Formats: sequence, C-alpha cells, structure tokens
Amino acid sequence: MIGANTVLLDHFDDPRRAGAFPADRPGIRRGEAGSRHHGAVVRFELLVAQDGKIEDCRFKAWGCAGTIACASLVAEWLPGRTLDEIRVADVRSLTGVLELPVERAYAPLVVEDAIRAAAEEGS
Amino acid sequence: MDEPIYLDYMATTPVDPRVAEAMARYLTRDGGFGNPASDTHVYGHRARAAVDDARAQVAALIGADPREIVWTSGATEANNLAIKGTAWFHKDRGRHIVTSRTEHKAVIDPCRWLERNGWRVTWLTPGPDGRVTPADIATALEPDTVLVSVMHVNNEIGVVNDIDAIGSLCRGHGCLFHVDGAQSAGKVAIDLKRSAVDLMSFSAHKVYGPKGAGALFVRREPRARIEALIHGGGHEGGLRSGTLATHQVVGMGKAFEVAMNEFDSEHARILMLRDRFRAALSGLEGVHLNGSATERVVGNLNLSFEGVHGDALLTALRGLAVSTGSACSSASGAPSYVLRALGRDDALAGASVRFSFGRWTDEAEIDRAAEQVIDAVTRLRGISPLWVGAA
Repeated sequence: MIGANTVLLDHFDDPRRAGAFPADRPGIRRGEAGSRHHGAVVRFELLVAQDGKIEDCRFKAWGCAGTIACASLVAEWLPGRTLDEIRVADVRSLTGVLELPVERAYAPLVVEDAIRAAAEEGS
Repeated sequence: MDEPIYLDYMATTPVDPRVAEAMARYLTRDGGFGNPASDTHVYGHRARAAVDDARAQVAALIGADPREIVWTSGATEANNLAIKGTAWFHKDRGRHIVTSRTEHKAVIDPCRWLERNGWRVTWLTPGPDGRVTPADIATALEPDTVLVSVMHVNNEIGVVNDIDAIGSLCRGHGCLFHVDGAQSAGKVAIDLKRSAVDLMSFSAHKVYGPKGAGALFVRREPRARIEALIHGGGHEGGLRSGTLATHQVVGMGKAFEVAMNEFDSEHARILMLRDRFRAALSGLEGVHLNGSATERVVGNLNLSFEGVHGDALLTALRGLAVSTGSACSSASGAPSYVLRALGRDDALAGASVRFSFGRWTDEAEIDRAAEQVIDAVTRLRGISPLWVGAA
C-alpha cells in the first residue's frame, strides 16, 4: 500500500497472533467473514476460558495490507475481553489509527464481522 | 533504507548518460540552441542538422526512411495522431476500426472517443496467450474498415504480436495498419522495409531516452494518408506543427542509436537475467506466467501468485520497484483489464506482478529480488485462509 503509516507497516510486517490453533484443540470458537469477490477474507479463532473471557486468539487474513494490520491490532486487543464485549465491538476507529484511505475502510469491518462470528459460534 | 531495486523498466527507463550528454549540447548559448526551423543563420542550421541526424538514427533502428519519421511528444500523441488522423482523413471512405481489448490506454481511449463520435470499433479479445491472431483480424475486417491498430509488444505481459502477418492482411484488404511500438523498439527486431505496417508509434523514454519525446512512422510508399491533429506552422510535413524540441529529439536519436548498436548483447544479457530470476522462483508453487511463454520480450515476466492478495504482495515487496498492471493504470487500484481479458479471475489478476528488467539490472539485483519475492509470498501464504497449496 502506497503511503502506509508506521503502525500499519509494523503490524503488516510482524502480525501478532497470526496462524491457527491445532484443529483438535477444544474450546475454540471460529468465525470467518468477507469473500474473494470483495477482496478480503478474515478468519479468527478464539480460545475462550471458563469465565467467558478470551484467553488467546489466532487469525488468518487474505486482503490488502490494511486488512492484515487491522486483524493483527484486533488480535492484540482481544485477550482478556469477554464474548459480550466482542459481540458489540466497534473497531472502525482503526481506520484512523492506520490512516486507511477511504477505499480501504472496509478492512476493519471485515475483521469486526469475523470476531463477532467467532463470538457467536456455538452459542 | 536502501533504494528499492528497480525492476520496472517497462514503465520507464533512466536516461542513458550518453543520451543525457548528447542532449545537453542542444540547450545553452554555447550549444545548438537555435530553432531548427530558422533557415537564415547558422544557429538554426546547426539545430536542423542535429534533428536530421536524430531522424536518421531513429529510422535506422526500425528500417525506415528518415523522411518517414514525424516527431511527437511521446507515444501517446503518436497513437492519437495515427488513429484519429486516419479516421478523420478517411471518414468518407469508411468508419470502422479494428483493435484489441489489451491495447494501451493511449490506443483504447482515442478509439473510444471515435466511437462516441460515430465510428464503429471492433474490440478483439486475445487468446489465452495474450496475442491477437491474424485469423481474428481477418474475421473482424469489414468492407468499410479503414484502420487496424494492434500493439507490437504488450506493456503488461510482454507478449509479441505477429505484425508481419497482420500487416499483410490489412494491405490485402486495403486498410491502414497502425502498430503501437512503444514497448518493442530496441527489444524486438523491427524492419519496416519488410513489414506491411503503415503507421508505427514510438517513445524515447522506454529506450533510455528522455520523457516527452516520441515519433510516428508514416509510410511513404504506399503512402499512408492521415490528417494532422495539431495545426500551426506546418512543421513535420504538416503532420505535427510546433517548434521542435531539439534536445529531446537529439536524445531520442541517440537512445535509438545506442539501442541498435547494443541490441544483440543487451538481448542476450537480459534473457540470461530473466531466466535466472524465473529459475530462482521455481521452488515456489502456485506461480503462473501470464502470456505466451515463447512469444514474449526478454525483459518481462508477469507472474500471478496464488493465495496472496495483490496489495499485500506489493506492500511486502516494497524493497522492489515493480508494478501491478501498467504504471499508467495501477493508480486506480482496479484489477488489470489486460489480465482479465486473458481470463484470469479478479483475485489472481490482483496478485500479479510485472517484473521488467533492463540495462542496469545485474545478477546481484536478480538474486536479491528473487529472495524477497520468495520470502513475501511464503509469509503471506502462511497467514492466508485461502492458501491450501497450489490448485
């Protein structure tokens, strides 16, 4: 992305909690959002503790550099949050943090849809 | 941070120092600053002689008569002059034009403008190898076709069209044949004495010459009749008025002379570099070459990478100066219309990179570039939910 800011490049070059948990690991909620057609696909996995708080998470993202950076920032924020918090999470402010141009404003929304889908899974 | 490795020679090239040195002699008071059209004094004569020399240098590379060279501000203007000039001159004879969907915008947009003004245009879709076939042209020709315009080398995927065969068809049909040669001069042998091409556009800055200089070849025998677009003084045989930019013209001439003298050695060296780059990437699965593997210029590799997003790939490759699509249209962010015309789906077309190699590319750059591509693609696939191995 031309003119990407330092926060974006930091999270794009070194995404936090990128990857996936082992498929057979119990207590994982998974959610996915976006489509190839729309230019971004984000998948989140949440490891939820007994008390309903997020203990850890992983993500995979296919999309512009801004989408990957958004997912990484959200992955950094998630641990310690409750499922209820995630269900109402509004991460649109990341557009400002990452200084995304208007045509990339979809990036936080896809990430938001992915974590909400994961929070809803199995509930 | 080090400067990115420049692998975008099809977007533009640095001016060769030999060219810059030649140009500098035609700017200042102690040089050939005169107006080439001033025939009453030595200042004008000196500039005129330099323009004549440059005309001969350009003509020599393409097998033309120097009198067939019309200077323009670049290939875009040359394309406009060829297409709109032909359409206007022959408007009472016919109003049908044949071209392809993978032409440069400098051909597509003048054709669209003519469409809006009452001409009919047949837009051919190239085959999966990116080439326009003579058979497609033959099918598209109509009794009132006045012009066929097909590029010699595609600016995005580097494939080479068979302009000799297409030219013969057009000659037989009695319509003019225009070729956008901006990407082929100096890279593919051109002999306009032999090829039935009537009009051919050239650019200086793709051949290590200056930006803002170009030329249109206008055949004298049989004569290609076109109307001028710019009037005012009758320069260039009435086809392009305006005081000639002596230094620009001299630069283009010198650039074409160097390209001719070093054609064989450059060709062999760049072919070796391209093959080295391709071989270095051979361990990476899910990589597709766009366009014909054989009928292509040596300095271009356009590759699509499965499982990665185009924007993310370019961001990861910011140590390389490369482009997706052509430089002129990648600012729009839209998937390449050329790759889409070849049938690539949007996601794969978006993850395509044009690597183009040139005079100052060396083995060390190729090796470093290949390493960066492998690292970037591997890393992005590692976090891509769409990557499950090559399709």
